Amino acid sequence: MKNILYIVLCVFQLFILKTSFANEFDKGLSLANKKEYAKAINHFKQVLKKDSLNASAYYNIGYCQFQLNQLGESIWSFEKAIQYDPKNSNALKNIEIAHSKLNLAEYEPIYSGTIRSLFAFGTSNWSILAIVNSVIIATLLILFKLKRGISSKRILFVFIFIALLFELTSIWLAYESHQAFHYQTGAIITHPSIPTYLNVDGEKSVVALPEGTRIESFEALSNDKFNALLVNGQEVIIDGSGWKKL
Amino acid sequence: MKGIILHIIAVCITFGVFGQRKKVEVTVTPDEVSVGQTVNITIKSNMEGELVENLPAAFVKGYGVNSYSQYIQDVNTGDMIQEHIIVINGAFSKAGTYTIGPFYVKDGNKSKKSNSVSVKVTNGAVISTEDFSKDQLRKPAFGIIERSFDVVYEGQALVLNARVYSKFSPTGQPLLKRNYEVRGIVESHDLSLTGKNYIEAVAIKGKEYSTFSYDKRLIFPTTIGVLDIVPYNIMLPYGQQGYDVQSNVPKIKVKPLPSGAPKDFIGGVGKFDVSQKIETKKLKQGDVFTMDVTISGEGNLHNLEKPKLPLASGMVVYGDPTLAEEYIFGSKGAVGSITYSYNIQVTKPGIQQIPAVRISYFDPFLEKYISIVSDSSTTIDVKANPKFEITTNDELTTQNIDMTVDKCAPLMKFKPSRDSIIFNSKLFWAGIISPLAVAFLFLFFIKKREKESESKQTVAKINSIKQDSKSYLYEAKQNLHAGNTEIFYLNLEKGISKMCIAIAHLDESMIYSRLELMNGLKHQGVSDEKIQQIHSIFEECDNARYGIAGSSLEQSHLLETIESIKKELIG
Repeated sequence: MKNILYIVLCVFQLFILKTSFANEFDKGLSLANKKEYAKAINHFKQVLKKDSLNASAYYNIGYCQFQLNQLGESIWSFEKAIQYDPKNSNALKNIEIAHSKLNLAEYEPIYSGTIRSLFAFGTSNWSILAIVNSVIIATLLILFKLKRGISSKRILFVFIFIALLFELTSIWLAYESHQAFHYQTGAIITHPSIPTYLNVDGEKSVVALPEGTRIESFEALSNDKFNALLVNGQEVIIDGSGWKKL
Repeated sequence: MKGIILHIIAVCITFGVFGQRKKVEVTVTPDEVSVGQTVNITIKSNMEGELVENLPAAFVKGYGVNSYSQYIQDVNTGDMIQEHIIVINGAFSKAGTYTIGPFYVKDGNKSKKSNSVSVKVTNGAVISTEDFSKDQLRKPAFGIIERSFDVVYEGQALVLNARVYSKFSPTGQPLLKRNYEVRGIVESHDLSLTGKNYIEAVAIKGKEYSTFSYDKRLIFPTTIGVLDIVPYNIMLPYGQQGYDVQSNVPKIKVKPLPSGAPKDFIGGVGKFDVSQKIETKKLKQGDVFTMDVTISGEGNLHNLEKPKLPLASGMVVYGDPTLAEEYIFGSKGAVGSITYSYNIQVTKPGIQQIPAVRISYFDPFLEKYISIVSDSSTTIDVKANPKFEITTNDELTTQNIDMTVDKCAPLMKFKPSRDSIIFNSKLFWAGIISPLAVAFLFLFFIKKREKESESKQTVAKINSIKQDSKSYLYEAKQNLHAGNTEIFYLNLEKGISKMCIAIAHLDESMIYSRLELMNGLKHQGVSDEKIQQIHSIFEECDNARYGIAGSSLEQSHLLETIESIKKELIG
């Protein structure tokens, strides 16, 4: 009886939480439609405080920042939206437009083509598929043992082999999409430009990184200097401001 | 009254200070140059007289000294004053910081001193000569074409300089028979030291030479490949006939710019900077404001494309920007700045941001594209104007094709987050492992059951064989008592064979040789003594079959031996 009560309470709490998200989200949406983008951003950020992985909130923040011409920030938000919802083609399109407005090189998404479609299927779906596949393998193994005919055994062996490959692929894809969902290594430059340095002592180089540039990965060299690897393979030293980790 | 007196005093002081003051003023443009770059020195004076120059030794005067007079109105008195202006052009032959002036204007006993101006002279692009060939050094005079680089990128500033070396001092002005020429699509600018042949003495491999350069040019090659240069031919007057000099032909390679230029590449090859400026930041809807974008630096500055403005919706650019060009050609290319003034109309009210202008250029020394942005973005405050209507005249729309803002994809409705709670959870791994574990357990039990049933069958078979063996031995005993020797031995042999098959766990349906049976017994751990005994029983059976049977006593003894073996081995 106690357990049932606990489950009912949990479901009720979830329902209330979801309703409050939706209210906050709708307020943001209504303000954005009235072109009050700065206020709308605050409401979408409230949604993220309660549900930090909400792709639609990130997308709408990106949309508002785009309208406010904060293009670097908007690229960051759209990237987050794609991270949590790889199927979001509108976010991809908006990043391309922002790149074009910033005169940056053509946007190359982190995941594209087949890989993007596979990740877009979702970690949960791949996980469920892996479990279902495991049941299929178990059944095939039992059938293989029970069958007496050599030809049936041969067919079953081939099916077991295929199912085993599919099982490993499903687990790998579930793992990879989970990694892509939770652990992004990159960053986006959100300031109009950030300086680069020749060394950790702060000697400035002539190269400045423009707004919207994606940093593929970075590592700390000292308290305020980072070694950043850019998408084009170039490595630069930057300081800690003007860019946001994805 | 007091006020009037003070006013009169003030007027008198003004007249005393400014009214009749004689002045000599010197200005130098530009005040930072490279060696060989033309400099204009302007001396302005409101006093007529003789000019006493004070120029550094490294300054080589050109032919173009220009003097004229003009009338200007005195702001204090309203009188027209005559101003005498002298412009001296020339160039510096060595790097360093030089002070030009003070100049003096002498009028009888009166003399007026001017101000001094400091000029910084850098080496600019280093002109490479080359290793002089033995053939050249053998000649009384030779000519070369110096160049700043052997390999350049298309559009990069390159300096060429015709230089003549002679072991003798020419007795007159050299006579140019044919000038050097760069063929192909090349833009060329004259950088000559004011047209004069400035002769200096140099030592090459311990020998004294007189040298002068006569045609220094800045070129911007645009044809890829090796530059096609036609050598020059100059005649140095010496003696009665003079000496004819033909120059070498340098090999200069022009490389194309690397691929992968950023979208905002404006065609610049050199080193540049960008800045932006807006005078008015508070505007009304419909107002047009001017935004100045200045690109400064050195290189092919004069050939840059206009930068694109990253304007938001609600701003439209009227027409092409007007250009204010302030650059001079030096050994590093066009040095200075170009300001593009854009006329922009604001069509939307509210606080709007004009992002920083971004450009890319190619740095030939770093050999890569560099992207730079102006210092900061600018915010403008646009007040709503109800009378304003957006016009869509043809000019406006055509001028703004590249400024059109792409439409952002629309807002999204609420979608719950789709974080995976299954992956890597206990449920996930249980879901993967448990079906497989169940299957393997099932297989294990089946296998175990199969083994058990197999072993039961084997035991039953062995028991049946043992039973057969016992039956044969019993029949042998009966026949011994009945005196049927032949059948006795036959049953004895069969009984002992069956016993061996049962002990060795062999297949009953097969026929085995004696050796195979003995090996089977050995394999089951039967002692050699017993095997030997069984073997000798088989031999006795064989002897009986060939008529050498033992006596009835021997037969009963044989039966006893077999009985004891049977008891011991199969019970």
